Amino acid sequence: MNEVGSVGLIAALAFAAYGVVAGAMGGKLRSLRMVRSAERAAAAFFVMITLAIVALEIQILRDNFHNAYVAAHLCPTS
Amino acid sequence: MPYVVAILMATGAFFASITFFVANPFGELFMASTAGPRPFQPADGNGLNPLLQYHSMVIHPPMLYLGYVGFAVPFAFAMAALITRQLGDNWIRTTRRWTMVPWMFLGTGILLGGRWAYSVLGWGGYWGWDPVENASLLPWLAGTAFLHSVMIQEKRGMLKVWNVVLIITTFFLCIFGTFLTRSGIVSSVHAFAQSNIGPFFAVFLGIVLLFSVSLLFLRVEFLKSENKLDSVVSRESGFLFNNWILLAAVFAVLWGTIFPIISKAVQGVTVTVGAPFFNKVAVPIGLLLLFLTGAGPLLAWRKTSFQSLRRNFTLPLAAAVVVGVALFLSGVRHFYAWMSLFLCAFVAVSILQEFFKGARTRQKTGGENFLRAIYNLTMRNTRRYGGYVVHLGIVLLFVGFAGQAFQAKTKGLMQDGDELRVKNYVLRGISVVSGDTPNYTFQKIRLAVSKDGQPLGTLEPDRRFYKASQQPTSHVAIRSSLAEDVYAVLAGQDPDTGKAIVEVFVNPLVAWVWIGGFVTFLGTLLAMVPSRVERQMAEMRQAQEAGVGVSDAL
Amino acid sequence: MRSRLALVSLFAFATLALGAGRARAVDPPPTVDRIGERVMCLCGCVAILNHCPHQNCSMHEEMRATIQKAIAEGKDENAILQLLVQQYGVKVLAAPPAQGFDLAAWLLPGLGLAVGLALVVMIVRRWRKPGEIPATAAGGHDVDPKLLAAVEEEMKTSGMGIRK
Repeated sequence: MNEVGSVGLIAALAFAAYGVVAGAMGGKLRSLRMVRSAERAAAAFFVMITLAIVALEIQILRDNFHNAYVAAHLCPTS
Repeated sequence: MPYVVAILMATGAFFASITFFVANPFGELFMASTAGPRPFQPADGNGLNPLLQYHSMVIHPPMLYLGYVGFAVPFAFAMAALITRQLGDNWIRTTRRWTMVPWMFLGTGILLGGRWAYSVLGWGGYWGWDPVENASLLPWLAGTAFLHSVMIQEKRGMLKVWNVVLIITTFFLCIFGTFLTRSGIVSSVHAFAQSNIGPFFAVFLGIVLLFSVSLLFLRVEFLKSENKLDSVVSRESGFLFNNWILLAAVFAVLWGTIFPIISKAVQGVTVTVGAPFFNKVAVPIGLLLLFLTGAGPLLAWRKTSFQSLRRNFTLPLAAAVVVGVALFLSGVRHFYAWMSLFLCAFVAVSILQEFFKGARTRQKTGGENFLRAIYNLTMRNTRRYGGYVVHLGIVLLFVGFAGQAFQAKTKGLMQDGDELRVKNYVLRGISVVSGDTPNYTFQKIRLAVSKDGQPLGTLEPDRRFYKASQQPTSHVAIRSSLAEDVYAVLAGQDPDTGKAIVEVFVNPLVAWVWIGGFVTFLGTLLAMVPSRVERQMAEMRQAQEAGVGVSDAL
Repeated sequence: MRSRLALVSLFAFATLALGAGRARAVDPPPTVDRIGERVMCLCGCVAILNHCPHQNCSMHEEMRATIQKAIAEGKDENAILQLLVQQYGVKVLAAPPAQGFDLAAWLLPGLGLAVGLALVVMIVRRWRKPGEIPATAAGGHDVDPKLLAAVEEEMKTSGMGIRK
């Protein structure tokens, strides 16, 4: 699960970085294709962040204390 | 739109990289062994800070985050408008909508936080002027200023530069608030959220400021005011004063919050700037703001004549004087509380007068009955009347704030049969119970409450000792009514006598804080409903665009 | 002119009334609770002494005992605060003392308010146009005047503001 979360985050980062470039270029070059592409990157960013959150949430609900964050903030009964 | 996406994604990229590289929640635990690190899975976690194990805590942080995050959208629109030089009416209309949503969430989040503090921390109050509390208040105040001054731009085409400045300020304060909370740069009750991300945020804040301010300077010629002020006594100048007070409040709170850092840098000593400071500084500013809440809407756009001023102010002022005299005669001597309630009466009556006047006009011209007229009036211009409802919510908040001046408290050692008196309440100990759950052990005292001899039921404050974190907390028992709350805390056990240490507060009018918050929330929702007029205009625009499209095709 | 006077006097009234709040009666005798509102608990909870959320907090009890003792010795509130500062350092005070550099903490919010007011007054003066309200519509718009007139008519009848 930690891998899934990390992949979600790094993919989100990549999409965001692409979104900045595509958005700026799309605006500058007045290219509708670029702009659409940037908008899709924004949507993908959202999906990837959601994936990371779900990955973390699953570990919290499963009391996976191998994850440092879960171990620091959770106990099985709370 | 393309630049809006770019700006939002830049913010997203920053937060994604912080989450991935600096404060990754997917870190794993390993144990060193001879054969290299081995995965390690402890049998149990540290446990959530017990103070946070409370129901409104589930919703308080997401609300605040929605607020903080949401303010990125107006910022992105403002920046995009500056980049593309499309600084007409379009972006400001979109931005206003997008500001109201986060503004509502942020405000609700702040109040839920207050509600949590009130029910869990056990000191009888809901707002402690902690740096992190202030950090959430700052963007809310700046956002409030924007929501008001944006109207001058929409209606009169003025204050364009100023509005961009306010959007930048609000967004900056959001990031700054996150920075304060997560960096631990000032000591705070919210220290549980600290990590080592401070420097990254500082750099990001620098970039945001540099980028937005230089962009503003490059485009300042496109933001010329379209109008002049017709009269000093007008709605426009009312909004200017509103902005003055709100920004002065932002400045005062910000200054107090960061003063410990400044003091440390200048004189090498860390001082504390806590509640006594903020109460002294913020209360007068708050009261001035309350006054404007009522006075501003009574001024007409462009120019207000003396006749209309007299017509609009007479009834609210008379009502306020009556309330003021009544309060004085009934023994209210706390000046700020008196002033606050006096102004509350003024503002409340001024708002009701607006509703009444509008409804009566409709009654006369349209022959509608009163309630129908009120409804139609509101739905026809939801922004205006929704705004009035928000103002009414603010009045109720201030009623609640004023109540704090009359707080009474007492403390005593209690066991079965002991009595504790506070104001006209008597609390009698019935029984002390102890118990055990998997999460915590607890001790609970049952108190029979009576007021002037009338029994009012029981209160059961308890005290828990959480096993995982080895921390004790109190669970406050509150008996709430519109007039006052009886608030009992089991503060501990006296080591000598073995009796329970019970603290009891009587907090007048606190319920109005929550009611006021709820009314504000409803008013904001109402203001976001598209009014009939707006819908008609949108239809007109659409029809026109469709017409243009057809003629293009031909 | 009269209307302006009315507004100014309303403001003056509000400001004066607020200022009057400062002038309070003589301080009542010190109590542990009163002083406990003015100092911080130093156990690490970052709360006002009276509001420390930790039970059986050692620091809390120690500080209250110190205050209790000083009251018993007949010291007044300021002397007790001085004593606490000597014992625990200046950070024990919940608000910085109004002297030396710390005076800046108290003065700047007021200064900010004053500078803001000066700015508002300046802006109002610069914005004010001399004489009558001209009847022309907002200039510089690249809009079909017929359309503009139609929209304004619509806004006028609907009770929304007029952009003029």
